[in-house]
Amino acid sequence: MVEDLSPFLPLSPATLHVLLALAGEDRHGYGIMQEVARQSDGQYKLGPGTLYDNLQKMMNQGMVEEAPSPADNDDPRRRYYRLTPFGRAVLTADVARLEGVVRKAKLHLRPAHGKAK
Amino acid sequence: MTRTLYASLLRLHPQAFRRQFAPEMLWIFDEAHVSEGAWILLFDLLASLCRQWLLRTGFWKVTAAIIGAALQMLPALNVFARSRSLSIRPMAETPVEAQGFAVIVMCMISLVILLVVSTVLWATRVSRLKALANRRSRCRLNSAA
Repeated sequence: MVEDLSPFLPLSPATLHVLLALAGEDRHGYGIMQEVARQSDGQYKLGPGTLYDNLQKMMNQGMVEEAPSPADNDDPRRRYYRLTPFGRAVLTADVARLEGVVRKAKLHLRPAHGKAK
Repeated sequence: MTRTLYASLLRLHPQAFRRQFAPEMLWIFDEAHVSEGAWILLFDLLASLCRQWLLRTGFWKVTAAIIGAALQMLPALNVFARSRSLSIRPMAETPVEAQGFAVIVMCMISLVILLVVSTVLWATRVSRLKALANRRSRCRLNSAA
């Protein structure tokens, strides 16, 4: 059965970056902030306010959930988050949508590029 | 000083958000205020505070309902004031009683609108949670398959 994910798409830039940061491994909040900055080469930076506001929304929607801490002696204030199967499905659908956008953009930009020559 | 300001702004967030995230957000402030800039983090938290109260809670809907009720009462108050100037006093004998009556009516209308909005919000939330539970179980079945 194919699930309709269209109500969740398109993802906002913050949501997309947070989901991408969690796609590889479970991370704590500060780790997510650093990973987002790394993935975007420092062009997109999330503040803690924006991050946790989005995390709360995604947890309510069932895309992200809290994960157990990997180390026993970790700082108790650090909480880890991970992607749920539903979150992964939404991320995959949005990446497919973006691929379609890029394909169409390339198609439309090619003749304009030719005319310029 | 900026840390105290940050902690104070965190305390102004809705209780559910504060309980869930405040300690970790304060920890991130301690870690990142030098590299990111304390004032940038404060501005980000201020934006989050506005978003939390205006978008994530139903607070704005309740406020809009109360303002709407008050605005609806304005023409009625106007009619009442005109009837007083024409010496027609349909419901109250003195201006003080008339004002009291108008305030009571306004409060009752606001209360009714508040109850209706709360019920609608509650019903929407319940249906949304049910839809979410269905979606999760479907997703779990899909991933299991």
